[in-house]
Amino acid sequence: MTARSRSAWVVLAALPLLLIAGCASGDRLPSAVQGSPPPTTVAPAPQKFTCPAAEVETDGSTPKTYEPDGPLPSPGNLPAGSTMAEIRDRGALRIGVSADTLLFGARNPLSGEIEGFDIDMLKEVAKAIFGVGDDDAAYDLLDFVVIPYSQRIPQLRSGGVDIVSHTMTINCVRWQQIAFSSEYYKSGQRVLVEVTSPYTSIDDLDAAGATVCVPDGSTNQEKLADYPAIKAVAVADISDCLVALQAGEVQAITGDDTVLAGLGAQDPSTAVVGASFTAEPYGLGMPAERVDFVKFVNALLDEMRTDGRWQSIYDRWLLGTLGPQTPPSARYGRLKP
Amino acid sequence: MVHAVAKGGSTPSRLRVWMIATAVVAVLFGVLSATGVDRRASSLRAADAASQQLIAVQDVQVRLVHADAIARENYLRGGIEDGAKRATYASELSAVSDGLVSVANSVLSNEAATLASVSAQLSRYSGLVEQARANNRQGFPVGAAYLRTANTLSTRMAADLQSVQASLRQQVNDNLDRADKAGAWLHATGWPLVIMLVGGGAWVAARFRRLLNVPLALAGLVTLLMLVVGGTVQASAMSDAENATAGQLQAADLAAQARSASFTAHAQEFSTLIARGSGGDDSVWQTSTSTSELALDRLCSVAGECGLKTYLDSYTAAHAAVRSSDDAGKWDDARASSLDGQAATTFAAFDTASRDAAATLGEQAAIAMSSTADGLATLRVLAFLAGLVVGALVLVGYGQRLREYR
Repeated sequence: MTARSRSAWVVLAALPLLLIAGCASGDRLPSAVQGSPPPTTVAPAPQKFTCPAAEVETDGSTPKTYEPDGPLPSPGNLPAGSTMAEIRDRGALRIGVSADTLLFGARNPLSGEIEGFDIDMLKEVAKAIFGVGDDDAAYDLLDFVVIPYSQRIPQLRSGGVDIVSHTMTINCVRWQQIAFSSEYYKSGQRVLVEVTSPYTSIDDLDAAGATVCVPDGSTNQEKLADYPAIKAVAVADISDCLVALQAGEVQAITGDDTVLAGLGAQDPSTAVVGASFTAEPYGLGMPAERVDFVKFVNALLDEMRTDGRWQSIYDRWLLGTLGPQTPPSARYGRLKP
Repeated sequence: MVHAVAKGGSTPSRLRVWMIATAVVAVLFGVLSATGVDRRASSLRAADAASQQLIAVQDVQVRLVHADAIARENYLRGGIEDGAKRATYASELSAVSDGLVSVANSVLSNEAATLASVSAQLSRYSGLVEQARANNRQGFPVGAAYLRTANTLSTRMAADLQSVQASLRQQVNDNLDRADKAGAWLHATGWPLVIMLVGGGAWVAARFRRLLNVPLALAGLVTLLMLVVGGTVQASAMSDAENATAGQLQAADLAAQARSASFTAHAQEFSTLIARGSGGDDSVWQTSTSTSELALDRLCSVAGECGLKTYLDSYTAAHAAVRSSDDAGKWDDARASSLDGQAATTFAAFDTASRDAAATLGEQAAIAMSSTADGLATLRVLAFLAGLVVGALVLVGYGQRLREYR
């Protein structure tokens, strides 16, 4: 056999292998399909705000708000072109509220309605604008937008809501972004722990380097910076903090006493402990440029302080858990946004 | 002669060498081609097993997201729940639990570990839903936070199940590749044997001036017959498997994906309404519905099952009305439509139609995939016997010529 014929034999023998090696195979069963998300817009970096030196309250007083120009105008006599007339003509007051802060703004699963101290405040605003007399009629004129803590200011600045009643603390930095009514409730920051917890104050938690849950974007979160040893866990909503506490993921929750009382009412194994370590004056938030609306709401609150409506609402929702309290007084003197 | 022997090239010794070499290749042909057929059969059976597991895991996922959607729906309804829905939730969750155990026993260790993790999460999930329910019935808003945590867990479990499904799809494809390559064994040994038989026969004919050596001719004929018949049977099995995979199995896969994505979207509709008014999370609904639409479009082109898209379109329109109502502050209208109105009715119609279609497609896929290896067991025996017969004929054929030197 010559070298040439041997080569021919080798090629012939290898031919099937070459043919087989050339067989390619792809995926007969394709991967899972994946739909496309809706187009998103890139959010601009959040703007940082600071309190101007001229507005700092050195004695810790609540920042001033706009004084009403006079007595509360009647619903039929709202100034033309005013924010109130615009809302009346629209036929609904768009409100930003919580739906899971028991006693202040929480959805009643049986009635389906959101109810609480904050909601009753807004019903009074609706009555004043639309001229309706009873609570049910006022409720029907409210357009609810349930928002987490972190969305209270963005919703007001974007025009998503007319007013926010969401256990929101009045402070100077927030005044640079939105406007507030006069103080409608005086609260303070405390801590909620399990009844068997060895911690009885925020200082105990700090000394132990404990893990503490706090709503993201709240003043409670800002205040925790004063307690550097505490390991803060920020969640979207205060109710998530109760879940974390019940699951043993955190050792305490810090928040306004009123909100903590609402959480405590949902879990008898917890208790609000320690003294208030902040002053949290609550105000109704409104867009910064709606000065007329702020003055209108302030005039309404002044009426409610004196005619007993504030007291009636307080007694209905909070007397049982927080004891007797009188309405906080207004502090006026702000002249421009 | 001495020169020829020294070269190892005398005719008898060449005959013996060629006879032994050809007989060895013939036996190798029998053994290797039988092994190749066996490998193809076992790979096809493995592809079938992976496809059955894929359908089973998808069923688990669909039931999980269905249960999660009902949990959210009942929470939104609040107070006194819909008893039938509650019963469906319980039975779906029970089926998920049973399905996880059943599938975990048959999958590979990696997937079994993932499924075990899902089982563990399922216990926590059901506990969270119960806490959400108990709190909701007492009017405690913390129930919504428990439900959110449960929903997050459900999303994580669904992602885990999807990773198992991706692995099983890969196993189906890998096994089909293996089956495809195993077909080469028959040809890799068969054709060299044919060449050896033809070449040897030609040399013998020329050297001994005999036109035909009957045993060698028969050996060649048997080999060729085996190559043709074996090749045809194997190719048919492979073709059946590929058609079943790209056809019925892919259709069942797509139907399950569409149902899973649609339940995810439906669940999100309830969550968005529970988080009353803050409808920003509708992006999840849109992404899931886009996935469902894509799956249904492919299902239409793969299996001609085009009617389901119409049902989904009806629901999509009803959902848009729900969102419009909610965004316009008419939450009660939105809730009513979602729970008992147009959105509920249209989704129920999609659910019924897609469930029936998925069940039918799943059964068709199971039948088609399980029958692809039929006939290969007989072929394996025939291939082995053919090798032995050809080897024997080679010994007889060359033996006749060798006897002439005695």
